[in-house]
Amino acid sequence: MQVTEKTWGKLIEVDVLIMGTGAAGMGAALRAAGLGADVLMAGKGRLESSGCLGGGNDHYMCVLNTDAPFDTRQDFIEFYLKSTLGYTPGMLGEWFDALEPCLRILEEVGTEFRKNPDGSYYRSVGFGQPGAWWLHIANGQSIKRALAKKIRKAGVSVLDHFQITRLYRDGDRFSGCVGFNVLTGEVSAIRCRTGVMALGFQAVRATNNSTHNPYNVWFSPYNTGSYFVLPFDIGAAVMNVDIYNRATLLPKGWGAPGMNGINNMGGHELNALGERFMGKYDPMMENGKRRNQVAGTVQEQVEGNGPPFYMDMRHFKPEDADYLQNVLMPADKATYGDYRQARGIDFKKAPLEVEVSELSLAGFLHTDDRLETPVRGLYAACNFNTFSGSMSGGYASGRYAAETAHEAPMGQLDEADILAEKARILGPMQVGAQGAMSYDEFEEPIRQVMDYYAKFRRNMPGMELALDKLALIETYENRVRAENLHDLMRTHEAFELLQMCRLHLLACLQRRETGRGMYHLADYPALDPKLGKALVMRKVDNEVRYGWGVLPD
Amino acid sequence: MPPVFDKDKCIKCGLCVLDCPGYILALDKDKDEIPHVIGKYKRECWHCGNCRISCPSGAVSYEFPLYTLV
Ligand SMILES: Cc1cc2nc3c(=O)[nH]c(=O)nc-3n(C[C@H](O)[C@H](O)[C@H](O)COP(=O)(O)OP(=O)(O)OC[C@H]3O[C@@H](n4cnc5c(N)ncnc54)[C@H](O)[C@@H]3O)c2cc1C
Ligand code: SF4
Ligand code: SF4
Repeated sequence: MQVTEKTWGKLIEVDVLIMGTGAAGMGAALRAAGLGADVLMAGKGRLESSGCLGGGNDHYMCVLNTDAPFDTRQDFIEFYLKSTLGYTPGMLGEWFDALEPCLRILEEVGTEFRKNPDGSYYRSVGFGQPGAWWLHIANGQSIKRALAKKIRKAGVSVLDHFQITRLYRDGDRFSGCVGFNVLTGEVSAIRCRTGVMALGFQAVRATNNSTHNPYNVWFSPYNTGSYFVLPFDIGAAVMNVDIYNRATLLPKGWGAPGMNGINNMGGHELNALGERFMGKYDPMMENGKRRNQVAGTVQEQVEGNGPPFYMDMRHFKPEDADYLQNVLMPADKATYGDYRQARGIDFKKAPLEVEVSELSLAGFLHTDDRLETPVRGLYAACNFNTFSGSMSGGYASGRYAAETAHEAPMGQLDEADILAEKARILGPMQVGAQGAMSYDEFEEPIRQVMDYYAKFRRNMPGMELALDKLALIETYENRVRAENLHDLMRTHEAFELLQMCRLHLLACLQRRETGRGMYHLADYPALDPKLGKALVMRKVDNEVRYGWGVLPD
Repeated sequence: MPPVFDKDKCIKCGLCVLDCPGYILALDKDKDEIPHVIGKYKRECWHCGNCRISCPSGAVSYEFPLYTLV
């Protein structure tokens, strides 16, 4: 890596640039560094704590290729091929092949997987999957730091506190990015031979849960869509940003996960009438598809059968209830124990009140089997879901980024582009107080629009109107004033959120059916078998083009 | 939810401030302060627990705002 001081900031030159320091970025860094590449990781937070893994994870999905039922490569590939997600056997093979090496890395850094008395892994079934693919983790809170230590020791360069605001291409190749340090305001440009996109597949803060605090949510609220918006802008294609939106059940009032453990250990969901209703919505009841649990709970709510809703664990063996609430849940969210205490929650004594969470936006980037996007040399690391999916996706893309970097030319960045981006980045600091608005005042109306027109129940005219209203909000961008660097960071997150919501709505307007995403369309209430394909979107000559299962020209 | 800092235990190392992914904490070493939640940003706490995980002296605990309890 080489750093040159310029009048406008720092110019950094590196062979492999990994954007994002979460689980995916970490998998990529370890693989690329293991192959001897010159690697830089750049991320908004600090490597030790950033992203969804920072405060813990309690489950790792891993098909182990043993004699256990549905435990082979083929079982894994068949399960994910059935979905509409647009995976190919080649991509899924990449994911599968990385599962075991990532498991070894996690064990090497001290991750404690629960074992059976015979020494084999304790595993459970979840998410409608056919086999017991979920390993349990007892010390999830320490994983991020332990991996960070290994990465720093491996000689990977790390640029912490760096918010990436724009990507660049040079012809058909990825050439680098520009961003700023959120603590110092210094702008840097990074040019590279290849890049790994690992900015997180969830865009949060698009809608609210019952608390109306967009930071009191399930997934990391500091991700607002960079993984999609930035690559889309340089001609990469986004996929499934319509149907891959995400939601779950939360402890009422508190943005924490936990349903993995509760559902797959056998919790019963009850409505206000005391009925266990999930049988109406999924043959596997609570432990089926999460989409069905969310849609089922929303339906019950519409019918007036709740709120309240509860997850009942009183039928658990006392040791199982204690394991879930004292080991698994705090390993998943580091402050769960404190919340439990504040609330007096005890699964053995009373059901846990839950609510349907906010709806976050998500999707994938379109890639070939080697996870390369249509922008050559840019690889997608967050296309597989869950912790193991992210780490594995990073591990696989890190390999290709490192291997291709040998032959790839060093990306060129145009100084005029860097200067223009610097001016755009710092613009909100120069907005005068007169008539100015804060990032919150700009961002709240985005959620107001999405909550009202584009949540779990919607229709096409409503979404079209939502797009018009987002366009109105966008005209206020030049009024947003950042009083300091924290405000500046949030301002750029808010601008990105708006673009992410737009991508989502544009995609939803193409898909005239109900049943694959988390939402129900009143004007197209049934599943259309012809639409059992991934929706791919790409910007060509400043116009958005769509393809069903194929990359649009 | 936003963390509470124990002034008797805190050694003012600043690690919690650096590790907060929401950038909502501050510590002014010149003033020999313990960290605090920047009031304007307290709603931006994700209660991820990183500030406590980072703390070498067990000085961090959590208080939950009323809206998380109802
Ligand atoms: C509390 C919690 C518990 C969970 N538990 C489980 C579990 O038990 N099992 C499981 O399988 N999954 C679990 N998940 C999901 C799993 O943790 C995630 O899918 C996975 O960690 C995502 O990793 P990632 O690297 O793809 O994305 P992220 O972790 O979101 O990382 C994205 C990174 O990019 C950075 N970034 C974003 N935008 C920018 C930008 N513009 N510039 C610079 N940097 C940027 C962020 O700071 C972050 O470091 C859980 C998630 C949460 C939140
Ligand atoms: S809990 Fe997380 S977001 Fe809240 S102050 Fe601590 S580190 Fe920051
Ligand atoms: S990490 Fe702990 S000891 Fe260090 S400043 Fe924060 S509260 Fe104080």
